[in-house]
Amino acid sequence: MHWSTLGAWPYLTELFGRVTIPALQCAALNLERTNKITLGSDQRGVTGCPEALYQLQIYMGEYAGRIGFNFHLENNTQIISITNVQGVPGAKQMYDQFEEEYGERPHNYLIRYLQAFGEVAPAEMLFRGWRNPKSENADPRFYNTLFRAEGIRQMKTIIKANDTDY
Amino acid sequence: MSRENRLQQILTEEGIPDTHFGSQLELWEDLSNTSEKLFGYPYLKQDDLRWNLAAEYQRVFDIVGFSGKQFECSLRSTYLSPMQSSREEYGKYTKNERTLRHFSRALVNPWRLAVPN
Repeated sequence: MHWSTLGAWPYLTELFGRVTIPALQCAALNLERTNKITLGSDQRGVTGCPEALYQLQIYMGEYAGRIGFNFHLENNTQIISITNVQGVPGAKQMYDQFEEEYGERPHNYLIRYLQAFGEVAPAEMLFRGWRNPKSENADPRFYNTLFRAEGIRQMKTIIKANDTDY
Repeated sequence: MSRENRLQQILTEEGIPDTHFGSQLELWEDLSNTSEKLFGYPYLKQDDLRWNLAAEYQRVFDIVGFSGKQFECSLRSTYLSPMQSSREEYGKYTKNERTLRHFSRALVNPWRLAVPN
């Protein structure tokens, strides 16, 4: 069995539909392929995400954040690489309300939902996390706290001199 | 290990099937557009490993479908792995080892995997 990011779309949507975490009353999730890789945002407020092909988004009446991830295979183990965690400006009140209702922050919920893919996948699935060092807005404490809380192993990456084309 | 063998090993590790085109020119013809799009040349050398990538690109596209932007995103994506991959060439893809692995990770398809009922 060998498979990876581009072709994984039908497989991931199948897993997304099989996850049995109870649905939220006041929020909705959306799994989609990235359609914007440049700066700026679309009409929903979703910003470009060149580091991840897949996005698990959360909406609370409006777009409220996402995790971006990729998929590949190492031997027979499926690897989910979480390479982007992002909220929206001025959403603190929304996030506080979410936590009050559900007992956790929305991004923790997104990570847990993604981890539940591993429970319905037919083969072992590993989750790895990364804080994009090129992102000026990425707060390392946010990523560190989130990944640590959800048991996601953080990876270090090598920044290459010519790796600046976005 | 020769360089060609090393490159073949990377493709094998990443699950890119060996098309064994040999002298089947009609198969090259079918993939010439894809090869030109990916590598800038409609016809690579007969033993060029990148025929395998062109074949896989076409196969995944025929099955899953994806936009040019999504393909671009898959090449810009970060795949966290001890076996590092990175996009080190823009536009035209050489046989650079890390780029070859990165390219492979963007392409190999999952549809052989059956999700249990």
